[in-house]
Amino acid sequence: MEFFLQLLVNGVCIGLLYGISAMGFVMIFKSSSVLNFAHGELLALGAFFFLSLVTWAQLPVYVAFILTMIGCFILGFLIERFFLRPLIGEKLIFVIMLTVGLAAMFKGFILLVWGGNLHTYPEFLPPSMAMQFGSIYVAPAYSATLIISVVFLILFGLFFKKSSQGIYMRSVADNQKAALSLGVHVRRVFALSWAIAALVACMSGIVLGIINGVNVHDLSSIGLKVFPVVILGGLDSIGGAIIGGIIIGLLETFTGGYLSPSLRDVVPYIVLVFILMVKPYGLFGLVEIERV
Amino acid sequence: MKKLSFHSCGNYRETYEQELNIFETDFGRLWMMIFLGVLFFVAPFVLSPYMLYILNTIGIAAIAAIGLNILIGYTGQISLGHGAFFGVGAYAAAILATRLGVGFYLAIPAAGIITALVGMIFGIPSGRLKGLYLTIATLAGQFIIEYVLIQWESLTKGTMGITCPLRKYSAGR
Repeated sequence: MEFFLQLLVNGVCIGLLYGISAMGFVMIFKSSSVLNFAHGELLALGAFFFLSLVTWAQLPVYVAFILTMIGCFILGFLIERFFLRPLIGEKLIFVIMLTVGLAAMFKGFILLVWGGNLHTYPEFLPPSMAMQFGSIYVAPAYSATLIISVVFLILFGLFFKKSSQGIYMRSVADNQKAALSLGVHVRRVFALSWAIAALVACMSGIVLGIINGVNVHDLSSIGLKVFPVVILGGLDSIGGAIIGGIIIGLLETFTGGYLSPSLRDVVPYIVLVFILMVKPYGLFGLVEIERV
Repeated sequence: MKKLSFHSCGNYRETYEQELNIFETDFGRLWMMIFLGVLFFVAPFVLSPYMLYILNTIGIAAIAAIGLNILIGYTGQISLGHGAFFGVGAYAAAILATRLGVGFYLAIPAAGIITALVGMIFGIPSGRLKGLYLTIATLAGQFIIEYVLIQWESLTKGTMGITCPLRKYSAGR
């Protein structure tokens, strides 16, 4: 029972992280229907920027965190401006190959600058952040994850509900042509959605780095794990991404705990194939898929 | 005398044969012949072993790309799991050669057939899905095949890999 509860807590924390990184992915897909295969590399870039700012530049953690987020926001903006905008309206294969190429480029850049080794952040989370419920221990990194994800969920909820930019983004996601004809600056919305997605990705990269250490290969493979999450939750549902993330996180930790640790990494993809065969639009997605 | 063909200044193709034509112009055919001649009759005697190794790698990648061309180019199904089939073929050939002692010329086509069977299993989703969803399904297939190849240790020797018996082509080297 104890083991079960411990796995449950860990699974929910990891799942929330998956959910948050999937949220950025869904945001891009929703507004511009681009599948971003470079999401894991964005995650890794954020984690490595933060690493450099903390260890090389010796900045205080809060300053480094904010600087990284600003940097990733700008990076997302630039990616959209220089790489994605020329391809608006092009065929699916070109856009997919572009993001695959971006992924390879970023990965190469990271390997060039930081190398392929495992780096770790200096300990900066206070040990008092660890939580203890009876016999269940929640490590500081996990409770930080919990706090950060809840804070960002609330922030994004408010952004999409209240701010005018958020409402523009929702309108573009709902119906691009109608939004365009009502005077929404669709290109700005595309750029903003990439910027926000990069910001969210870098944040989840930093938290993953705190939990697992910073390594290009691990972080970029988490970018691909976004796919089971978004398919499970529905490709165009932000709330679905969070719930899908939690389900996948729980599934992973339980498989790792009860069955075998090696099966842990492949279970999400088996689930992915199963869902695609049974319910391709996911739990909360818009039902509009065509069958061949 | 035969009339030479040049690139037309538009798309005037009328039949599927014209669409699939590899050499659109006679010059293209000529240069390809010259290239192949140089590649097979000059290059092996002139280039260093390392350059030959690179040329071989190019050729191998080209064979794999032909498979991808059939999928993406002719049928419009984007596959991101192509590398997994590459691996299945390699493992099939290696297992046939080391475990069963099958000869080189039999092992290669047999590996192709085995990979085709595996491809049929992973092609099932393509009967139901299209576009983005199919792309994601092929990505999942890649991970599942990779997992099976690494974890089925009794057959594939896991991460150790299998060393193929090298066929001696030249006694001199």
